[in-house]
Amino acid sequence: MSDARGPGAELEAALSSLASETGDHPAVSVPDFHALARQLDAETGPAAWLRSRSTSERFGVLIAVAVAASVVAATLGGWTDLALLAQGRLVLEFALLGGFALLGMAGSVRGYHHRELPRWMGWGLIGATLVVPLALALMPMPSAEVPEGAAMAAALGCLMYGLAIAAPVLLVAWVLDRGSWRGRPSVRYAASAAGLAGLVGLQLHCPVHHAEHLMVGHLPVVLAMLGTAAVLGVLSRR
Amino acid sequence: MLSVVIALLLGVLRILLSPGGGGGRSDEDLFAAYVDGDRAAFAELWERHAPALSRLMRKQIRRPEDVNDLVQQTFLQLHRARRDFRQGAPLRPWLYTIALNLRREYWRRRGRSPIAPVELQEHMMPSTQPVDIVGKEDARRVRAALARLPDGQREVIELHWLEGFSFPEVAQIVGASLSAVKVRAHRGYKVLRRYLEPEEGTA
Repeated sequence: MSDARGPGAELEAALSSLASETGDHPAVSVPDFHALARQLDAETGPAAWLRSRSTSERFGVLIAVAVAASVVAATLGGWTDLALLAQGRLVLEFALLGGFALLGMAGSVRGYHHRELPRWMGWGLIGATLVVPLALALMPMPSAEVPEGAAMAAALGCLMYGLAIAAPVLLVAWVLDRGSWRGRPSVRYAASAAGLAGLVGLQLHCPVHHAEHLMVGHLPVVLAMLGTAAVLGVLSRR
Repeated sequence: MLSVVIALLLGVLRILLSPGGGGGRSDEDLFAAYVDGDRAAFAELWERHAPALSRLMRKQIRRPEDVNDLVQQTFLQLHRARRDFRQGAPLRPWLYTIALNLRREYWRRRGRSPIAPVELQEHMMPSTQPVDIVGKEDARRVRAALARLPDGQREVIELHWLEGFSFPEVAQIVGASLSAVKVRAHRGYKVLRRYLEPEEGTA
């Protein structure tokens, strides 16, 4: 007798008949272990080594790459004087962009042994990746230390600067992923993480807060990463 | 007398020489041995679980080469995730989590929903066994009804009833709380009972 939440006697019998039917018959053609052994033998080289690190180690690698790329870019391209910026705004920007970037990195390194995150979470992060920088760009400027013309002229430089940080993060996220990006939610997380890492890196470099400059020079970093990841997600065969 | 002694010795030798040196090792012991470099332990895990995983895949996927590929991918992912495995945790639910994630990804890549479960083909049936017509008909109806359930409910019922996992293990595999899993099963039972009710005039 099953409890009130159980299947009931009739359904239980039917399920049992299905279980015995499928359970009694061995698989028709279980693949040969040698085929798997060949795949295991091919798991060599630095990329395979990185992929086989634990999830927390791969998460650490991705953070390290983002930090290293930001520091190298700022060293080569120049640091902004953070003291000149409105501290409240700066903290808000770092917290929002950095927080979502970390979420993206954590999502991108999840292995198949973890339960899949709900689909809304991946798309929600993409939404946040677009909306948060846009909202920050449209917020009132904390200072007007740079003339508008100069701000627009610097936009292309900022775009290149942001891409120089974001691209390595996306590349390493791709290397660290244990499966193919084709049809895999991790591609969305990786794209968000890379784009937002580029924006966080730009905070260390660019003191301009003009909305037009941010829209033309900063936001396209995110768009470029989302677009690249979308293409890789379709083409990837690994 | 001599033949009994020889048979006994051969039996002992077979146990000693079998992969891993003994047949009684748990999945977790075998996996730990593999992580330490024992390839034969992985082959033994494969022999234990590949047939059941093939069956699991074939419930939704028709092409044998796709089924084989997904079973191989499951073990390849197990290999890649070997440093994530926590000592003391059971391996089998972990393996099934990987398998189900790969199966979901398979359908996502095709932009389609799973097809109705595969009917067992004649060559899969044991020819020497008498066929239970009533049981077979019940099984066919349940399979058809299961195919119409939402993914979450179907997975829980399949894992519990067809793969023999306890509800706490199912909860671990699908990454939901025990109560959520029981609610999904309960809802699934309700829908299944409705589908399986005899149609008017056929009772």
